[in-house]
Amino acid sequence: MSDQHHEETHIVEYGQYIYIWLGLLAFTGITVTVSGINLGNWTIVIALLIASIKSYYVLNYFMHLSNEDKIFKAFVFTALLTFFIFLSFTFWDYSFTR
Amino acid sequence: MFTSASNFSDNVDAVFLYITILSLIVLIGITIAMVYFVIRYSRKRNPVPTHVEENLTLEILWTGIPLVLFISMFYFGWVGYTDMRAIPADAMQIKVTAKMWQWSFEYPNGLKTDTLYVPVSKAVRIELRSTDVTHAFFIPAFRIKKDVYTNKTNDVWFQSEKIGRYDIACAEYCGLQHSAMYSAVHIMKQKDFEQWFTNASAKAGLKPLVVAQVKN
Amino acid sequence: MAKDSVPVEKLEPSYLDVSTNKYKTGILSWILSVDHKRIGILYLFSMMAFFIVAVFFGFLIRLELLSPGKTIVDAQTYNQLFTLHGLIMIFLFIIPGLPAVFGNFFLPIMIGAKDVIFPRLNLMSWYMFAIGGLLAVTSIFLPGGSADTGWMFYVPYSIRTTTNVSPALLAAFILGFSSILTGLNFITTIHRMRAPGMSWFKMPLFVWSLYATGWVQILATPIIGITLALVAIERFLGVGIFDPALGGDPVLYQHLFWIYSHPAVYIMILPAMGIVSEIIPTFSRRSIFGYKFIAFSSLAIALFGSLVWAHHMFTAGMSDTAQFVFSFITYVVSIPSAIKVFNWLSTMYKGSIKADPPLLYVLSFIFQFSIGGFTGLMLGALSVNIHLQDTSFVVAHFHYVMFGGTGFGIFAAMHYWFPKMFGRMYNLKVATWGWGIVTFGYNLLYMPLFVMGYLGMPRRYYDYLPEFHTYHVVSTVGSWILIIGLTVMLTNLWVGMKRGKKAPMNPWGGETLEWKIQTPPILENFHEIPDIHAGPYDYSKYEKAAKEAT
Repeated sequence: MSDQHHEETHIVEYGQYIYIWLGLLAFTGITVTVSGINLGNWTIVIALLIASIKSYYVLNYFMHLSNEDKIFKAFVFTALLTFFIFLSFTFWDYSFTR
Repeated sequence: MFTSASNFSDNVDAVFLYITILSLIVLIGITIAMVYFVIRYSRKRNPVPTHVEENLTLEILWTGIPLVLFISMFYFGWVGYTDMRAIPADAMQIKVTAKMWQWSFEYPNGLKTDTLYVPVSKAVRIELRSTDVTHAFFIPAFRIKKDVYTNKTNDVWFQSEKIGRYDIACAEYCGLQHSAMYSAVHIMKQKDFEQWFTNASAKAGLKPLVVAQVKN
Repeated sequence: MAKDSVPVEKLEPSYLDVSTNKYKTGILSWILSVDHKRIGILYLFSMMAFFIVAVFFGFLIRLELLSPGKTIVDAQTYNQLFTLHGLIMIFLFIIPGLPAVFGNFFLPIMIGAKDVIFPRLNLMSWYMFAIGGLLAVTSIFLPGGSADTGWMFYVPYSIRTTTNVSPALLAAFILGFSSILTGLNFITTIHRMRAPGMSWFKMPLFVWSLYATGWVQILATPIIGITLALVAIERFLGVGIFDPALGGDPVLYQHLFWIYSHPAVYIMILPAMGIVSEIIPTFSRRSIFGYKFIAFSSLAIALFGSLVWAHHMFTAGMSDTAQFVFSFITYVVSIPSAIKVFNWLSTMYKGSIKADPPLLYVLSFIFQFSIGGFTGLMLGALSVNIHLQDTSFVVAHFHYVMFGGTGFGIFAAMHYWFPKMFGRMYNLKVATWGWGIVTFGYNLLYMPLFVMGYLGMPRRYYDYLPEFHTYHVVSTVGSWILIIGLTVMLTNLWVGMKRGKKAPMNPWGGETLEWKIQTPPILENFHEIPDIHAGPYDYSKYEKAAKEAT
């Protein structure tokens, strides 16, 4: 597939990686802090939200998804959608447990 | 043969029978049609096939009719299930502890037994808890079953109108003696139960407090 | 029939004679081959070997249950036997049975391709299958004995037991990879390799069913892989995701397990439905009734079937909302299956039917699959499910769908495509007898389990109350008859493969592409990729010929 569009080399500066890495560390810090606070049903939502933001950065920058073909983005999207559906259906149980 | 001994038994049996009868009618229909076609349209009798590509009316019919029937089955099942979840507030409380491979029952005054004794015509709520692996509390004659976990308390309830002895089985595979994890529930006359309860509590050095509560 | 056959002397060397690598003959020319047909045959033989082992375990289970108390083995051995029986049958026979064997062999041919799109990946899938299978079998002989958890590996028991659960988990994990890679290969092949003119709605229905199966394999299998890996991690490191003693949740395990394992039964049944949709038109000489409805019902089953998993957990104490939702969708997913059965029946209407062994197996399939489906309706009703869950009723229901359905689908496919695969014919009379004995023994074996289950016989019981004795005896006798039937069937096929008379190009008069190429097929199936103009089941020539004659 790569021979169809000519090879672009994305020169990513190390600085960018370091900023993202620091950002991820910050988010990890938030996760740890938030886990100490009791937010009831929102605990999981917030934890997952932070994790999603983190994986967005990892996928896009460390795994270079932002520079990839549309088809690969579609693959990732399909997998995430499936995961989301399974997860949300599991919560038919957990959200309504008496 | 089909022992039915609790407030749920008749309803469960009725729903089961409803689905079974509908299913049998369709199954017999399918089978007869299948065998008839194989004989009637055998290559000897019918050497030239006739083409029928598709028929939208038929497709709609055999999607629509099953859908309606299925929803009725779902509805009856759901109604029966909500009964099983509607635990009366005045139910007698019994705690059940499961461990490999036996059941133990605890009455509100602390009396512990390995067999369950309850009075007839009295709602009984059972709290289930395991100490090791997952088990399942199953009384076939009452049509009730619930998994027993170590990290959460499940509950079931029943009320029996029939005096007698019924098996309690473990229905979730739990290892070596899984098939021997049987106990029994005795449904007794109110008077017999009180007598048994007073005696057993006295023997264990406990006060038969609950008898008064049990009476209402 | 006669005009279709090519005289023997004009036959070109088939895939059986031509190797794809430097080894001309011998085992290496097979296990290093990237030819999709040879890989299909590799799967066939390895799968049948595992099948025979698991049938033997099943025979021992039934024999043990002949009388209450100890009959031949002790409780521990019994628990290991039903675990291995389930593991091998599910992961090594039923799941790879149709896609990996017949999908590999016939999918490329049916869409007019020379091979699957990734032949090497295809061979790698087989190696993963073989390694996983061998690992499962070797775990029997390791000290500690094979796993005794049941094939569901329910925690916390699977964390507590001292038997070799980890090798079994690893085996299932590896087999999962094999399954994912096969599904990936097939989906890509179907998208990219169809012959010119083969539009989506000109594809044979077996291909449609493999397409739906492939998606489920890709999207659901990773979940079981991770889940089983977590159980292994739990065993070694005690992380406490599932272990309640460490704050984990066993019900979460059940959710994750069934998120895969319920769709997995559709991985198992969909290709069998595809087979049925192939065989009925061929033997009825009629185009399939409601092609699009059957094709789309496969997709509907794949979609809705992935959303009903928690109906395995109605007694687990889930929220009432979950009970409601999952029971309801369970009924929704029954509808596409019903649509298929009605369309198959209508295909036979006014056909010109020849009841050869493949069709006979299909008739058994429809009967038994219907029973499996109907008992599924009973299990889907919440209040009834509470009573029937974890009883032998569920065991019977499962075997009616998986064995009476998929198993018989595999037997039907074996008899249908046998002449094309091996270029020889088996004895039709013996095959018919084999079918009769297998069907009778099968039903005798599993029918009593329904009755017992409703009466309260729990599953996975080594011992049982005396009131169930009669049913167990009938069931065990059924298992003997079934095994006699299987022996007749398999011996007949084996003898046919070795010494059967040469098969013509198109013994059944089929219209799909595989019947239009040489028997057995040449190395790359087609000299020239065919141009497709008609639908897959165009039998109008018989009607036309009759009209011209009058």
